[in-house]
Amino acid sequence: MKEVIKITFPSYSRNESFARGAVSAYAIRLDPTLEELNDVKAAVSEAVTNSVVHGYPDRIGIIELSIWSEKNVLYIRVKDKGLGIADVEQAMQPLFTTATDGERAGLGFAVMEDFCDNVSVKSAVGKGTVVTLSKKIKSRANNI
Amino acid sequence: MNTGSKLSRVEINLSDKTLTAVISGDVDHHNLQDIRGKIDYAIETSSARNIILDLSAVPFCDSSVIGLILGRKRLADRLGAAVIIRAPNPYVMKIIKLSGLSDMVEQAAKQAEQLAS
Repeated sequence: MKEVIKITFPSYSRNESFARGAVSAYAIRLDPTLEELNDVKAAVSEAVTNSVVHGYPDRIGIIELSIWSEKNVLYIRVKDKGLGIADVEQAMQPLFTTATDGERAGLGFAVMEDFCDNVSVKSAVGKGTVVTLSKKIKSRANNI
Repeated sequence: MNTGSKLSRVEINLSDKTLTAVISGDVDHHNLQDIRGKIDYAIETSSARNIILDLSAVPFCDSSVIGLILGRKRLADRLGAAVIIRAPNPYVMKIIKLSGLSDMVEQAAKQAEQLAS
């Protein structure tokens, strides 16, 4: 049986660091290098921030974080029931952002794609967004 | 107590025409709000011509750090000041590189990073 750890939390921005912490705690089992761990933390941080900022711009909603692994591949799923993304392809373009305060660089998906092996985005307007990230962890033991 | 999720702090040092903002702790979307408010207030109330964002004490960041840099650059441009990024660790540098802002990193740090890689 696949062991999936599922955590739900409200979309307060302070929970971005909580999500990173939870993923780190799980990822340690796969014995990642510090760089791999940081890559995974950054990717999950981007996915959760997207849900906080774009999924639930005007309200606090629920974000569901699922973490599992198969052999040495770490999987992370971030799911919200927020506004959804009308054009996923456009949203994934580097520098594209709908944030209007000039403080979002539009690099969230670029970081996820660069730091993970695979990024899948499923979204429906008015229903929400599911981002699934996977990354092969090479394990420090294999590098010695 | 080190809880793993580090609280961010900003320390502002002003000497002559140089304002140095030493940022410590993780930089993410949540922490950014507080960090940028403190830095912008310091920039606006000084007459600094050089603004140094010292990232040497930032262990982790996501792409929010790019918003932090670009937002301060925009403000500095308006005031006729320059922004320099100081001493990002190799990991923070990786995010900066991804954004194409490597040219804003102070040379010494860039050399050290090249030596390390």
